[in-house]
Amino acid sequence: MRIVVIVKEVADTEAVISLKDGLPDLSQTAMVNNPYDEYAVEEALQQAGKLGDCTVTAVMVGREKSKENLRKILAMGVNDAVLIDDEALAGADPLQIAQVLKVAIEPLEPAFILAGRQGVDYDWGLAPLALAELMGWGHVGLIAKLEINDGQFKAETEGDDGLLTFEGSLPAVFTADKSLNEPRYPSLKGIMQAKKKPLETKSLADLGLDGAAVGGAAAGVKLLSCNYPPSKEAGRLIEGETAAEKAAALVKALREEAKVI
Amino acid sequence: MTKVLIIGEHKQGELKANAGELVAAAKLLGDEVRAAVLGPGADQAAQAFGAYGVDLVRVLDTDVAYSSDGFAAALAPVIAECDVDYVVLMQSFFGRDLGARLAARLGTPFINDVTALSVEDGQVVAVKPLYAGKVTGKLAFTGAGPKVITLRPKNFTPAAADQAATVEVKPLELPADVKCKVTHIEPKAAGMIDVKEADIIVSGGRGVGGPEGFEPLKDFAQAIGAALGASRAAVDAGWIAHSHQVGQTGKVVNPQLYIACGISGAIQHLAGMQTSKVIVAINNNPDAPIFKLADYGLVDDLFQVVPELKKLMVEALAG
Repeated sequence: MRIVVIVKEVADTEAVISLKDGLPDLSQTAMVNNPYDEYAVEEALQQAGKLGDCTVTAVMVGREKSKENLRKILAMGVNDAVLIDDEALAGADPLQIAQVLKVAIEPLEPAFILAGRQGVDYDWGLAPLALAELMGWGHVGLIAKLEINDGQFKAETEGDDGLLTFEGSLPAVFTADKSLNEPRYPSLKGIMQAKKKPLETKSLADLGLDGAAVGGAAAGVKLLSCNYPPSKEAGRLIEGETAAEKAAALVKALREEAKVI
Repeated sequence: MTKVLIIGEHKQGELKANAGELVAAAKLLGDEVRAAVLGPGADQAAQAFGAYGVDLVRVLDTDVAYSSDGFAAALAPVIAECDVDYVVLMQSFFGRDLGARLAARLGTPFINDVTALSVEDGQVVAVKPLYAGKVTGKLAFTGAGPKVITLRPKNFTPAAADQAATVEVKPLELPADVKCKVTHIEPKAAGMIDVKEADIIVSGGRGVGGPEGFEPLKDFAQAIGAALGASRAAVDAGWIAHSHQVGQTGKVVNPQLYIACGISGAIQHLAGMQTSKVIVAINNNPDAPIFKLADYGLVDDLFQVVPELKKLMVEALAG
């Protein structure tokens, strides 16, 4: 049995995003594995442990230099990895990414697919769900708990009006929320082993896909421009001799100046 | 004529107030606004659209509380037959999930978490915060066919519910082979307000010192009807559940008042709360970066300030 986990790189969450000609410029930015994807990887490894006789394959859409981060995923314990690297994919929209992932993942015949709930870049959270639709599978987004039993699943998610329990049959796609588990750190042994694990790079041509159709040039959504939100000016410090005095001055300000209470 | 289909949200047949935001956004996009409501009690919820002047509502009244693939399959044929130009949902769990599935099914582009919409040179331009709000993007659709949009809550002034249109209801059909569905809903614990819905958030960070340090904050929040938030540092330390986390790997919030207690102000936290109308920072370190963003800063021990603040704010809110 195989579990596929979809991963991607994003700018480090502590980084300031640089803009060049009004668009994000990450050329000097440290890239990390998308934090939510680490929960998906951890879940894949835990489920593989429970199910037994199970291969976990990571699939990433990225560039040659993404291999470093992909090796970190392998170091967590994932068995092998596929990197889809094609410059035509720059600017591709999530639906196009889902089309590419479908072609790359289908031959792997996974029992199910895990991914992070969203990339902490454009915060779409769309590609894995679109992939489920393109595959004709069910999906559960933002899972907090997953039970797999005899080809059936039960997953819990924090919905709008309470905790939702979803049920269905495999194959399916699940996206991981942060409350799902506690991702492991790669062990030294894992890091050493990761260097030798299979990591295959594929271009769109290798997948039999046309960059003119699934690439950025044909994207259905275009980013026109970006700017920084208006920076908030520092306000003022509340003065007072004691905590009680300061609290009183603050409540007065909230009431009379800010008028929020 | 530009046709817009909004997907309403309801709780057991009671249409949610965010229908006003959906109607308002739909009117920015087009001239013909129709709605759809799905799930148990949808028939009843549909009638409430009359107050917004929406007179035709597609309804899937079913025992199934939610099924992304089933609901998307029920909606897709109508969107195609009626030549709908835009489908608009809220960026809630429901809207985000169904919107994604629907866009994929229709093979149409999707822009989610939109905070503003405008038409520039005949082209719809959607504003969406990127990198959890560190930058703001302007995005546009290309190509023909329907487009799917979700709205970030509380960014569109709700349309008034002051009309008296008679609502015509047309049924939708749930396919027989639903792949995945909700089988149980555990309602939220009473008295717990979600940070995304709250007007006031009391939030704690590393400075609260441990799980017991959150108790006075919880007390304070409950006393003034606020939600309890937290920084990543506090969540990662295991002091409080992730559902409270505000920031880039938590929730992006937009309350009237954000009271940050013992939060230093890491960039990924600021990204999640910087659009709060008024920010108060309480921290005993005068150099904490959060003070650069706060409207009101209070340099003191939070455990001294919070009980005082609780007493005074309860009085202020009661008066």
